[in-house]
Amino acid sequence: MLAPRPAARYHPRVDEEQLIAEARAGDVEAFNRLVLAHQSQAYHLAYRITGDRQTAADATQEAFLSAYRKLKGFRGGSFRAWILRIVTNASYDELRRRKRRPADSLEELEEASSDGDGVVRVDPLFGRDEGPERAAEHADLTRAIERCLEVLSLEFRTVVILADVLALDYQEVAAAMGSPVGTVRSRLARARARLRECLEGSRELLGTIGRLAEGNTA
Amino acid sequence: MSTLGRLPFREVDRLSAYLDGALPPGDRRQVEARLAADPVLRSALEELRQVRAALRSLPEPRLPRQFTLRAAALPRRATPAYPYLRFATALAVALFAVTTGLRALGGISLARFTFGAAAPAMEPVAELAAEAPPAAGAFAATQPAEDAMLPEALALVATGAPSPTSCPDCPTITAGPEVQLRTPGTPTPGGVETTAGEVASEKAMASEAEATPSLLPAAQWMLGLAAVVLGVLTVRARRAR
Repeated sequence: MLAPRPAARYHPRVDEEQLIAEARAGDVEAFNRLVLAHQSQAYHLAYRITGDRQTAADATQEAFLSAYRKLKGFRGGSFRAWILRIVTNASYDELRRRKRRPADSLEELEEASSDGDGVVRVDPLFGRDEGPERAAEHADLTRAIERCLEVLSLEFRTVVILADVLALDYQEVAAAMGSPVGTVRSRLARARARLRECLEGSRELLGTIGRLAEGNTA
Repeated sequence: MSTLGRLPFREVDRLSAYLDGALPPGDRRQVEARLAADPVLRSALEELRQVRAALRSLPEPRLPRQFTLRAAALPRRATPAYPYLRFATALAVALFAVTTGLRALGGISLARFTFGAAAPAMEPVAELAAEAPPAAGAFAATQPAEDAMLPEALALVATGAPSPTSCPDCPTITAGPEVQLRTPGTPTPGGVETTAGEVASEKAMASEAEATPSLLPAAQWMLGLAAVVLGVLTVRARRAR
């Protein structure tokens, strides 16, 4: 059985600074190694913010292109947080753009909600060997969480994705959102309380997941 | 309604930070003491823990593709010299525009522009004219029709005359009874009677009028050429990787 993603401080690879320096000098291959290291989280963030894969893919690609252009503006600190901030902004931009073209986004949302939406349905808590009944329950809970994320404001959605889905610590979330740590802390508390309220109907499943998570981290 | 929904936000905030291990040691001990005594707080903390666990259990989406960049599709990067070249080009273009503008003004206008600071010299000249004896300044002082043209004539003389303060090396115009005011179309009194001061001042004015326009075209062409060359270099620097 797999453990949930742990909350851990970001430990960049030793050669990350070197890669950044080379990329700044115009080495695209060095930049692409940075892309490979961060693209999963970048796409996951974009997907959870926007709610559909095409929008997320566009936002992620635009974000990496933008990051390459702005690389000289990177002033040190967490490169992951810097990238995720660009991804966040690109996702907001994509959402605004799609809002102006609702027909396109409706089609894509329908496509994304079908079986072929590209989301890995492997459950890190229940594992690959979960029974069909448990798998169905968890799929229900996943959909419920996704619906509740959708109704959160963008600020609350982003903070909860960064802190809880991607398991960044408060400092990195603050850097990724361009907000003070205190703001991150209070927004996260509000977002969690609202999500809990929204998920009241899935209380039993939440309890099951909570127990499994405790069992895995114990 | 959940337990979290019934608690004041301050409590939720502290519990949420406690869950993440983000409270200072003193606050953490305080929360732990309250948790030990209050089942409602324990229930609220459990709800927060469940929400966090559920969010962390969300499946990770499969990447639709690699997001690596293709070198060919990237915008070319400017060389480090690009900002300097851009500034130099802008400066050359601006100076070229100024010199072109000066040339367009031409002749007297150019002289007025160049020696505009000498305008106050007009007043002493006018005073001298007024004080001059009738034998020397009779034409200006006695003819009313020409009096009307006096300001214009004074302006011409004044703007053409270098200021003693602004141009100490220039030939000095003699400020004596021989200084005369000349209006357009007015013959020199006495025909060929021209004083040494008058000759000097005319020579000085002529040399200034000649010298400035002759330098200006050369400067203009050089600046134009520099602007073009720098512009080409700037474009190349911008496109260089």
